[in-house]
Parts: sequence; structure tokens; C-alpha cells
Amino acid sequence: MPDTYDTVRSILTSTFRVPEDEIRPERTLQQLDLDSLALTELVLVLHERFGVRIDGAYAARGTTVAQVADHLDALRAGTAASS
Amino acid sequence: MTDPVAVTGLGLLTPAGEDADATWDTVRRGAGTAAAHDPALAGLPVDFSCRVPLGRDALDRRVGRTAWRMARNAVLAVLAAREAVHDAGLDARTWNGDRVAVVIGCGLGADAVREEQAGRLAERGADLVSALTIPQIIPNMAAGEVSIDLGARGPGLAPATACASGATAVAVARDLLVSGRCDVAVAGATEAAVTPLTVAGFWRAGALSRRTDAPAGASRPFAADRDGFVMAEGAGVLVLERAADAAARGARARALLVGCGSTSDAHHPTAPAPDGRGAEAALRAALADAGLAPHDVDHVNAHGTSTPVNDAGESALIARVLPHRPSVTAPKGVLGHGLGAAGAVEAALTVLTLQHGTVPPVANLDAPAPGFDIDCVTGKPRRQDVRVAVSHSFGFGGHNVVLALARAC
Repeated sequence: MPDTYDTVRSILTSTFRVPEDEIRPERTLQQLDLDSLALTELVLVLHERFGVRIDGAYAARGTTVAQVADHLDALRAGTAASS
Repeated sequence: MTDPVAVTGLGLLTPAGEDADATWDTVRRGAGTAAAHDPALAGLPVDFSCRVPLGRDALDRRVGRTAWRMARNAVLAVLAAREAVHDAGLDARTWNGDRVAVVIGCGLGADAVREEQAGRLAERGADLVSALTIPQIIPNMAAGEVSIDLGARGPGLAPATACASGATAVAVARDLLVSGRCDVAVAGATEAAVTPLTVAGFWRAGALSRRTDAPAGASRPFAADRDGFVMAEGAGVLVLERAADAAARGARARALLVGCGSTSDAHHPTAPAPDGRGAEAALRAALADAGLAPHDVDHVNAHGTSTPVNDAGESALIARVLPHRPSVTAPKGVLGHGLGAAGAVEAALTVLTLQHGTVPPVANLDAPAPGFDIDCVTGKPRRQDVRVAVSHSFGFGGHNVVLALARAC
């Protein structure tokens, strides 16, 4: 769902102060300067926003923005196991 | 006697302005308390405070992307420290960071974070407590973020002596310079702890002004009808260097820090010693440290909180130790009480008084209360050839710190 990607992008800009022009679907969270503290916080913010808790493995340094959004969609659709 | 150190840079972010110039301009006019009704305090018996004139989004944009992980007190400290370093003509990209100390004090800390996360724990469980909680609430993190931001790898410290913390930070930084532990000290304090709980606590202690109908007239140091202090936030940072080092690199000294005096009342957690002996000892220690006599003092930046007890005791102290009637000002009339930050902010303002030969008036004051035999500047700024000034800071716990400053030339 494209709105999931947009929401993730908006979280990255508003909560993590990532400049909007840096964010692209294929970029990894590490490329967007998210460190381990930021990744932990990202899981919490996504949990609050989407009502599902993603596994840390899906919010790792090498995860792309598109993969985060896809995983959230799968969790919300009940097609992936929530941790 | 201790060698003087040079104050080569200032940075301020206060309710009176978003930098040192703007703060000085507002304080110098002394028109009223920079206070307003505060949405964060809605419904409380005291619902007004002094906030810095920038919202969180504007503050974060100035800091840059590292702001996401910072509590408000750290954001204020980082911005004030950058301004001070720039003002000193130093460049954090090229200096030897191994020789730069960061001493940033606080009275409380990131109390808004503590309260918010405690609420989340109680209402929503441990899973929804932020991993940033500890990095944000530990009292040294503003000092840590400043050191990261500036690449300052020398000694780091976060002194906490309640409302004297900012002055303690300056005094400790001076000692680090004099003992050769660093070559540059970035010293000051930050506070952003205007929260429902801290305001309720100070209100219960009877410390706050209750002038909710007229916040701009609420902080009135030394006035007969003063009724307490006004909660404030802010940050103040000074760059200190040994005077010879500053001269060697051609830096302008805004003023000299010539003496520091630190004592404890050893009397009571919140009440000052009735005879003001601890505060007097700090004043005398600062003067002795500077090789000065009481009659050398031209000007006093008073702690002047606008509480009945503080101002009465401080007025008596000034009249007793400095009977030659030096001019007295009290910036908390404009700024409110920035708690741990106040001593650093006011040290910076005292530097500007020395540099400009101008003493700001005490806001909301026509004349000192009956029996206060001190020369408060009132109504408008006073031109005065100030050569030596002292700045008082007193804190819960019975901590007393006096800084003696002198004109650079």
C-alpha cells in the first residue's frame, strides 16, 4: 500500500529528522543515518502508528525503506508472523 | 589569589531572546517578565512560565538531524555552545579537541521526558517506553551532546548545585584551565524543566509567584510586593581560556573571570542560613581569590529570585558586605528563574554589563522594599563605568557560588 510507504517516510522526516530528499524506497536505514538507538525507536514509533510490532530483523541497518513498508503491510494483512 | 581567565565567547538562548545579542537587548530594557500562559501547565494553580522564543521544530532545524535524539535541555545547550564557540572565533573543525573541556551544569534535567515516559509505562506498559529514556534523562547528557557536537574530547562534567549549577560550572571550568587540564573550556548550563510536576512541586513548596492574571509583572526581585519566582528555561555558555593563551591567538577578551567563591551553608535543604553566612563566605572567597577588597566591587548581579526570603537575605548580605552601595540588578525580573541555567546566563549578562558599561534595570521594580538598603537600578538602563562586578548564585542544598568578573581593559 503506497500510503504505508508515505507514512514511514513522514516518520523518518518528522521523528528522525532525515531530509526528505534523501529518502528513497531502495535506501537502507543505515544509509539514512539511523543508528542502533534510532532503529529501536523506529520499532516503537511504527508500533504506535500502525498497531503492529515489527521484529527488529525487519528494522535493521540493511533494511530498505520499501522493505519496512512491505513488512508492515504484510503484518497488517495477517500474512506475516508478528513477534 | 588565582590567575584570571579570559571570557572569549558567549552564547545565550533564553526567554528574552534566541541569542546573546537579543537576550542582552531585552534584559537591558528591563520592561517586564518574559512570561506567558503555558499550554503545558493548563489547569494548574500556576499556569504561566518563561519559555525560549523558538518552538521545538525551529530549535531542531537549527541543531540538525542529531536533534531527533535530544531532549529539550540538550538542544538548548548545543545551540548556546555553538554560538559561544563561534563568538570566541574558534572552529570546532580545526581545534585540538583533546584540550577542550565541556562543563555543562543543570538543576533538574529532562523532566518532561521523565514524566512522559513514566506516563507511558503506567498506561501502556514497558513495551512502549522509549529506548531514549535513559540517554535523555541522565543529567550529564547535555554535556555529552555538546562534546559530541563540538568534537571536544577533554574533561567533561555536569555539575548540579540546583540554582547555582551554572555558576558552579563556570567555577569548575576555571579550575580546569588554571590547573592545566585543558586549554579551552566550554562552560555553562542548561535547563528545560517546565513541566506539570516540577511546577506543582515548586508551587507546593510556596516558591512560585501566583500572579496568574499578570504574568509580565510576576517576577519582581526586591519589590515589597514580590510573591515568588517564575519558572523559566534557557541555556547560557561561556568560552573560557587562560588570558595569556587568548592574547597569544589574538582573541578578544570580552571580560576576565578573576575570582570564584564556592561554599555550602551546611544548615538546611531549602532554607538559607538565617545570617547569610554561607553566601557571605562565598562572596568573600571570590573577592579573596581575585585579590580584591569589598570596596572594589562596582556592581552586583544579584541572585534576586523574587521570593520573599531570598531577596530579603540577599539584600541584607549586600548591604552588610558591600556598604558602599554598588549598583544592583536582578535579571530574573525579565528572564524568570532558569533554575540550573540561571547562574551561567547571568554570568554572561554580567560580562556584557562590564563590556558595555551599562547596567540593566530590575524589571517590575520602582524602588527596593522598605528596609532594603541597596542601590537597585530601576526604570531604565544605567550608564556606569563598571570595572569589577560580582554575580551571585544560591541553590537548594545550601550551595552558594559567587563569580567575580572584571573589565578586560
